[in-house]
Amino acid sequence: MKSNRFWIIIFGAIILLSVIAVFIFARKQGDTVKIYQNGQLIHTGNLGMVSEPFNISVEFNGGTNIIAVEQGRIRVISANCFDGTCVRQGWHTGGLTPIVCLPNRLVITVEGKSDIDAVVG
Amino acid sequence: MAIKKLTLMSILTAVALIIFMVEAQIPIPIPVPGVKLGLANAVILFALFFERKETDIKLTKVDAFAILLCRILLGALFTGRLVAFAYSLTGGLLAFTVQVVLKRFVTKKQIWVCGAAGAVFHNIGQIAAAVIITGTPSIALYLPMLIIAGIVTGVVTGLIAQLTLERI
Repeated sequence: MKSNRFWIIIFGAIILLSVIAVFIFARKQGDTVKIYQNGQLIHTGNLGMVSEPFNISVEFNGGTNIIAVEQGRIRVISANCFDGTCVRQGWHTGGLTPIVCLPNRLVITVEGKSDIDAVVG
Repeated sequence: MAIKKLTLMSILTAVALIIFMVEAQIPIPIPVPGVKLGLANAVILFALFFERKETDIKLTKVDAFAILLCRILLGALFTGRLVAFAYSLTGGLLAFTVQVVLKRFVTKKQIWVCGAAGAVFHNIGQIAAAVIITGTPSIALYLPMLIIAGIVTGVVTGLIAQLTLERI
């Protein structure tokens, strides 16, 4: 049997590594937005090119998510699923972790900055 | 013997189910998909570590597993969240396996270790199911956050089971 100290060091190390990973994943900024439903890419676009804010409504098996798009950022503003995690995730401007609505199988990623600069230049 | 054991298992299933139902109504302030308290696991840990010398009631791994399966099935039915069933089941099975294995390596004063490991693997199972079901691998990038949340909530649920077992 291992001592309590052994287990505390193990879990402490795992937490430390996870915190480092969270910071690494959050750092990236991006412009290219991709909206996936059930693994299929259903919408894609460049957040930098948005002049007028607009909404997109996405449906899946009776579930609806309304996505708001503005220049440089995107969020889910309403969802009729039970947890509403996607709504509370708020605005996304990038980062590796996507906006996720598991009940409606919706995933929104914002990635890739470099190819956008090429277009502007 | 059979009736006493059946009664205990029924009570534990009912308690786990009630905890699960109440918890499902509490909104979690952390906007990470899959994060939850997982308090119902305290009942499963209780069943796994329950032992009474003076009576003839003894719960085996299989009994604890039966309680878990009933809880997941009835929980999905009662909350109406059948979409969450696949995530719940994958996470639950993985967490249970890890807890059964880890039980050999911990003392009665280290049930919190089982709780933390169980919660972490519950989240890993859940994310794996989500990646497969949605076909979107980038969901797995939430794993570090889910591991941190799992350790924190798992230690608490483990301690609840541990302190309860010490006092009965």
